[in-house]
Amino acid sequence: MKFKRLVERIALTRPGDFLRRNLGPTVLLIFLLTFPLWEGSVSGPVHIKFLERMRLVGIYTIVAVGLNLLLGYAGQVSLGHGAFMGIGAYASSLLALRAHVPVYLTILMAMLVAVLISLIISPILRLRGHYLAMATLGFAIISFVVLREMTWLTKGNEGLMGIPKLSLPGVEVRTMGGEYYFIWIIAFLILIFSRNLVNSRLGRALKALHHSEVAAETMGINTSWYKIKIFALSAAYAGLAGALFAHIHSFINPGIFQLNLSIILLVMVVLGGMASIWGSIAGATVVVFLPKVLEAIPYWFGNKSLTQWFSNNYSNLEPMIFGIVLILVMIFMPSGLTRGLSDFFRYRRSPFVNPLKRGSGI
Amino acid sequence: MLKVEGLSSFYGHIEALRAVDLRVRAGDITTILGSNGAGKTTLLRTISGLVPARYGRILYFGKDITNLRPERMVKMGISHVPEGRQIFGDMTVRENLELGAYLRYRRDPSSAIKKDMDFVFKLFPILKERESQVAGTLSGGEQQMLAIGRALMSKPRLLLLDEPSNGLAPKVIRDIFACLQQLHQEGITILLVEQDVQIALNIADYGYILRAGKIVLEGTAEELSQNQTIKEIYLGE
Repeated sequence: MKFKRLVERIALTRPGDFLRRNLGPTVLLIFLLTFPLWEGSVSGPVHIKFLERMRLVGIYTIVAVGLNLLLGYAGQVSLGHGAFMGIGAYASSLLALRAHVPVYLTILMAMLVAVLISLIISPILRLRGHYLAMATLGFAIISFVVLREMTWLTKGNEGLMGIPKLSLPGVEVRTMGGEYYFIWIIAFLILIFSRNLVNSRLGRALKALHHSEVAAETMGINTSWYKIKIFALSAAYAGLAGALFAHIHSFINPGIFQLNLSIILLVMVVLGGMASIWGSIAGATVVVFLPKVLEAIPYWFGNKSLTQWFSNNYSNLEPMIFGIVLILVMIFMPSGLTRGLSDFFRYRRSPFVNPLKRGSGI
Repeated sequence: MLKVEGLSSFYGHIEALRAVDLRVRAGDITTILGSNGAGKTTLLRTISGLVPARYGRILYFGKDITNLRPERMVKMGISHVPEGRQIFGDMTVRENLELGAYLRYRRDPSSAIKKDMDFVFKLFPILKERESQVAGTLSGGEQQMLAIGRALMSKPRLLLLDEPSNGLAPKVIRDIFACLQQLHQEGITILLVEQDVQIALNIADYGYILRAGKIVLEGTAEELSQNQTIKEIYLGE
C-alpha cells in the first residue's frame, strides 16, 4: 500500500518540479561529479592540491553531519566524536590487517563497533549541557589512552602501518580520483539520508526535545530513547569516516584521534551552522582548506620561504587559527556560514544576526 | 476515572507530596488549588509520569499506571499542558499542533488528525489565523491556547492543565476558561491546577486544596466557595 503510493508519487512528479525542489543537492552533485575533471587546471596555479584535500572534506563532512544531527538538531553536546572516528579507524584497520577481511566489509564492521560502544556509554546521555560535555570529554580521553596503551593490539604510539586501500568486491581503489569518488558517493548518500531524516517525524521529535524536554515528553516523545538513537547514528557516521580515513592514509596512530580532533569536529559544525545539514559541508571545507589557503597566500606573492615556515610550524599554529576563526564566527555570524550567507541573499538580512537566538543556549 | 492513593514524591530528600489522595470523576472538571510551592505542579507531573512517585499509586480506569513513562500516559489518553506553556517557539503553530498528534501518526489516518486540527481551530480561531506563524512570536494568551490545542491533538480523555491563567490578562483568562467549559461540554475530563481560586471554582465541579504537599480540604465547588477559611485565606474576604 505504502509502496504503491510511493510509486504513484514518483510517477506523478514532473522532472522540473523535482529539480526546483532539490536545486541545492543537484548543483552539489554535478559539482562533485565533474570536480576531478577540471580541478587540475585550478590546482596548479593556486598551489593547493584540491583533489587530495577534497577526499578529507568528504570524510569530515560525514562526521560533521552526524555531529550536527546530535548537536544542532537534538541539542546534545559531544566532545567524543573524534574518539568514535578513532574507534572506527582502528576497528577497520585491525580487521583488515589481522583477520584479512575485505575492506568494504571492515568499513561496515567499523560502523557496527562504533554503534556498540556508543550504546554501551549511552547512559551518559542522561546528563545535560556542560555535564554531558564533560562526560564525553572523559570518553575521548579514555579512548585515546586505551588505543595508546593496548599495545598488543594497537601497537601503541607506533601506530598501524600498511593498512590496505579501499576496495569494492573485486576491485581495489588505487587512484586518488577513485578514492575521491568512493568517499563522496558515500558522503552524498549520507547527506541525502540525513536531510530526509530531519524533515521526517523523527527530525521534528529531535527539534522538539532540543527545545524543551518536558514539552517533548508531554507530547509522548520518548526523549531518552531518541537521544540514544541519534547518538548511535552519529557514532556510526563517525566510525565510518574514521575507517575511510584509515584506508586512504594507510597509516594511523592514536595521536590523530586525540581530543583535538573532537574539538575541530565541533568547530566544523558551529562554523557551517547548527541545525544545517548542508552547513556541515561548508564547515568541513573551511576547516580542511583554511590552513592550505593560509599556506598558499605567501606563495601567491612569491614568498616561498614563508610558505615553508608555515607548513613546518603548522601543528603549533593550528589551535590558534581555529580558535580565532571560531571566536570570529561566534561573534559575527552566530547562525553559521551557510545560514548566515543564505539569509543574506534570500532575505537581504544581515548575516551578522542570529535568527535562532533565544533564551536558552545549548 | 483517575484515582490517586497515598501518593508521595520527592525532590532529593525533600518531600514535595505527602500521601495525597485524590479522585477525578469522568466528565468533571476537578481543580487543585493552593498557593505557591504547595505541590500542585508536582502532583500533576507525578500523575503524567514526569516526576517519579516514591509511595502510593495512581489508578486510571482501575488500572495501575504509577511510574509509567510519559509517552505511555499520552497513549492511554492523558495529556498534560505543562506549566509555563512550553510551546516549541521556533516551529510554526501548525507544526506545534502536528507534534501534539505525534503518537497518532501510525495509528490514525491523516483525515482524523486533520479533523482534530479543525476542531482546535474552531475552538481557538486565532490559531487558524496564525497557522504558519512561528509560535515564539505569539502573545502569551495565544501561546496558552496553542499549548491547550497541542495537548488536544493527542485526543485525550483526561486533560491535565497546569495554571493556564499564569501571567495573562483577565480578559484572556476569561476567554480561555470559557473554552475549557466548552471542552468540558464535549466530554473531556479536566484536572485543573490553579492559583486563582475564584475563577477555578467558577467552572469546576469538585476541588481540592493543597497546602505544603498535603490535601487539607476537599469538596464540591459550591461548598468550597462557601467555606469560611477559604474565603479568608484565598479570597481575602
